[in-house]
Amino acid sequence: MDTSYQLRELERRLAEDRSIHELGVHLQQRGGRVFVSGTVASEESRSLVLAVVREACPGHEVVDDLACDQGGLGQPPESSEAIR
Amino acid sequence: MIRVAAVGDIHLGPDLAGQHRAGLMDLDQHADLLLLAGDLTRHGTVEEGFIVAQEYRDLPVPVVAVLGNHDYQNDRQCEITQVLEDAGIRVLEGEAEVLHLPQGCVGVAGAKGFGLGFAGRCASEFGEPEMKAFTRHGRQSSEQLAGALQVAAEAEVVLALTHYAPVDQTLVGEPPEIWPFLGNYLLGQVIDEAGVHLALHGHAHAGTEKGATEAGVPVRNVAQPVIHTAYAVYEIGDSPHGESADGARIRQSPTLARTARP
Ligand SMILES: [Fe+2]
Ligand SMILES: [Fe+2]
Repeated sequence: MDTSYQLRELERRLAEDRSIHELGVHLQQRGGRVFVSGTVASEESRSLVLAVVREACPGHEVVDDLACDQGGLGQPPESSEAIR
Repeated sequence: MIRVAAVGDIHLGPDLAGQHRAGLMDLDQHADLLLLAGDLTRHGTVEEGFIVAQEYRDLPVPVVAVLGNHDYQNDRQCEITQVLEDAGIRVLEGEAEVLHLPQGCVGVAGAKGFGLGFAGRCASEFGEPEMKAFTRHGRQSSEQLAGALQVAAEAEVVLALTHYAPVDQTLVGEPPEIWPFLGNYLLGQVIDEAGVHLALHGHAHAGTEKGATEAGVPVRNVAQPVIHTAYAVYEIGDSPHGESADGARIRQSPTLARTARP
């Protein structure tokens, strides 16, 4: 993994691959590490994305900076807003 | 007073089955209807459509939805719509649902919408056929919403439900370079022309919850990653509890609020 073009290509794959479809993942290489940031839909998706990146970037430490989108999905709101 | 619960972009797949439903069981304690602002599935497969149907079927309040771009990903939007409708979830695309609730009559005008962009930096019908098709679809989506709003306008409380954003204020947080793919100012224009109490949308996961149209209609981005809860609740109209001393809970009656708008 030596050019940012390859990382852009990998981002595209993460968005378009039928088993992944994560549109909000960003990859950056800093030194020998590849930083994976952005948001994914679930914890399962996080593991899948990281596995794909690790496989595509042999010899690089892959750093998980991902956030998971689904926080609070099972949580009713504590207050409401009055619309004026 | 009508209490509107709304959420979008739940992107359900097998790994999230049942998770949202857990937060919906006492829905009628919080709201009188639930609106789903699209991107209900992750990849738009019929299998995911069934997961969504299981999540929202037989709830204690009516559920009205629009689809989002993710629900179109596998070209199965018609089947997904059917699966949801069979589960009692109304799916609108250029249509309106008028609900006669005990709390009042609510008209929901729904359409997925599309990109196009916002004043000064939007696509125009010029050049390559692909560019013209993009622009034309954006324009048609606003015409569909306008048609739906005409029907919804008979209700006391009128709501506009889209997946794409009608204004750019609720996109703040998303990179401005992609705003033309996130919303469409023509949606905002038809909302202003119709006289709407509240416009709800999703799609912009990194956007901002609160905004307003040019004419001052409140717009709320209810993408789940933005609201962080199972749904957000908005109260429209007079509170049965009356006015509080500090006036913080005073609301205009829907009729007054609407006639005050152009
Ligand atoms: Fe989404
Ligand atoms: Fe979307």
